[in-house]
Amino acid sequence: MYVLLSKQLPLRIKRVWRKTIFVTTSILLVGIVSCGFILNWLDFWNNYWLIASVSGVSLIMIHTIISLILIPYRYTFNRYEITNEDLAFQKGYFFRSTTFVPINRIQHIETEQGPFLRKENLIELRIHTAATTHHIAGLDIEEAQELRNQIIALVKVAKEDV
Amino acid sequence: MSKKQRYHPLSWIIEFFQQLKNFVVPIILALVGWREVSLIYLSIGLFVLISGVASLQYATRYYQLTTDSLIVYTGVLNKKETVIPYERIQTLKQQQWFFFKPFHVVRITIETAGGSSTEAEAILTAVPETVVQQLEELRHQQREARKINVYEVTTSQILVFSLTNLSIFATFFAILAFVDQIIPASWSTWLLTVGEQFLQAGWLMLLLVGCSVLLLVSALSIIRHMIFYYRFRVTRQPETLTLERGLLERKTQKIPLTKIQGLQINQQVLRKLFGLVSVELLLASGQEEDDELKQVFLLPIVHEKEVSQVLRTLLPEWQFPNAELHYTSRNKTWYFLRIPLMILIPIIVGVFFIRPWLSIIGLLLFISWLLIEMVTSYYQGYVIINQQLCIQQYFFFTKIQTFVKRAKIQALYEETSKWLYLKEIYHVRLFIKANTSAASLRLRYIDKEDLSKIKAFYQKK
Repeated sequence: MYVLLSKQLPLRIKRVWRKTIFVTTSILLVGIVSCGFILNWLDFWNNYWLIASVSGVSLIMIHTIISLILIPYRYTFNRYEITNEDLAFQKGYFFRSTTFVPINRIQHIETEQGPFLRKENLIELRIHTAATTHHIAGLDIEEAQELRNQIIALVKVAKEDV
Repeated sequence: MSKKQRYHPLSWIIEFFQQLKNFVVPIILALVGWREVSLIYLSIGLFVLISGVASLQYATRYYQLTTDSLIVYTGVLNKKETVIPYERIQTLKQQQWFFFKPFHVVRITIETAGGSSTEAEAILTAVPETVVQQLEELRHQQREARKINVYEVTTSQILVFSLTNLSIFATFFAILAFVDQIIPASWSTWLLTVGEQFLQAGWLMLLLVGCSVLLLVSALSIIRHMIFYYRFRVTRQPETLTLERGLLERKTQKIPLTKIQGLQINQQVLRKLFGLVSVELLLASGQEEDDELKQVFLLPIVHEKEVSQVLRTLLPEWQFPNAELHYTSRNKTWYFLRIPLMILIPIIVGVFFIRPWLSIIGLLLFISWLLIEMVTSYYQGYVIINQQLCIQQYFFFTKIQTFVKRAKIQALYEETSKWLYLKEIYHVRLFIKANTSAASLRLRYIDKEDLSKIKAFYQKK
């Protein structure tokens, strides 16, 4: 059996993802439609443009629908774990990957919060090593704070310079 | 280090006997000549004289252990200082008279390579036993600290380096493009007619022209590399590596050893024929950006057989295994081939129906892709020695061996799929900080056993 890591993101992240997908899709659609209007207004509109924009729109819709369908999958298999030695991030079920980052390689930690995350009282954590960056898509603010302190404490204990 | 010190008082006795020996002739003369003085007075007088001299000697002789050298002071009126740097000390002899033993005192004789006399450079007549130990340590430290190894690339090596550089061909094509862009149309039509004439003159002429262009390009490449790498020199100091190079402008780069993220031994296909490799340093960015060459060569070109020897002298703290690699995927060639096959067969078949001749080009590309994958599956491997990992990969037709210290690996990424998981096959990727090839440490389709070995190496405290 495939071993999953212990920690999952809060359930509310699904709502954030859904909103993000909707917003991206609508921005793209609005873009395509307004391009169409501009072309029409400039008298450039013809059948080729029609085919291009219809296929564009349908690609976007397909992508959106697949993304929406995959949200539970994404949620279930997006996991992480923090031990005293390292952080682990896991992704995917069909194509599986796990990344391990030793605590003493962490250079700095960044947090970010967009409007959707703020609404759900969540925060994104970005962990930087000298060479790589890793994300935890959304955590409770208190949890993130706690995690940050925990990591910083651990980093202080074991510091190895680049 | 220590202050100027007198010898142990016991040295006075040694000094006394020494002086007695020096006074042998006068003593005998006195005994023969001065019959009228009584023997007792004579011996008392001599004793006073000799002990006086001995005391004077004792009072004016010092030694001192400084941080980098031993200093011996002698002379009553004519003061003399002998400075012996520790690393110059050849031999240290110690002697201990029976009467020294209870006081834990020894006599130390120090010899250096210099000095034609048979006499020792310095004699510490009576010093505590601990001084021997101290001297040994200081000498050892100095030797370690001052150990400097230099490696210089010869001009003929740079020549071979520039000729085997595959970027020659890139330059060649760049020149062609340049010619095409710059030269006016009338010229190129003229060139074309000349070309036609050449064609009429036959293949020989065409070959001649091609060869001369290639020669020109090689000459350019040689000049360029000569300017860059002229008298390329690596100097190893205790904490840094210094690279010097350049003909017109001498460039010096000091690299602290702790900043070396990894080391790469590269061998591309053309150099394999000559048995040559080049060694690159992987450095975290922030090192001075080199205008044209992003790569930092430790050894631009070196013979395969010499490389580990040279590297051992320059970087003794690294291990360079020669042929102890564990090859991971020799029995998994099929896995390497299946994706290219899956992608390319439909494309080639499809293209064949549209443009048959195009599919031949496709077939050639396809075969070279398969070849690369096969070579990769055959030669990719790794070896772990102490705190260090070596990974061998193939990138196109270049063999790359990367050496990394455990402490410099930033993250480990393992990858599998639902189906490969059942067969216990994984990919692994290690990230180190390096501006050119950050994510190049990659092994594909390896057994779980190898993955766990690499993980264990990486995660152990």
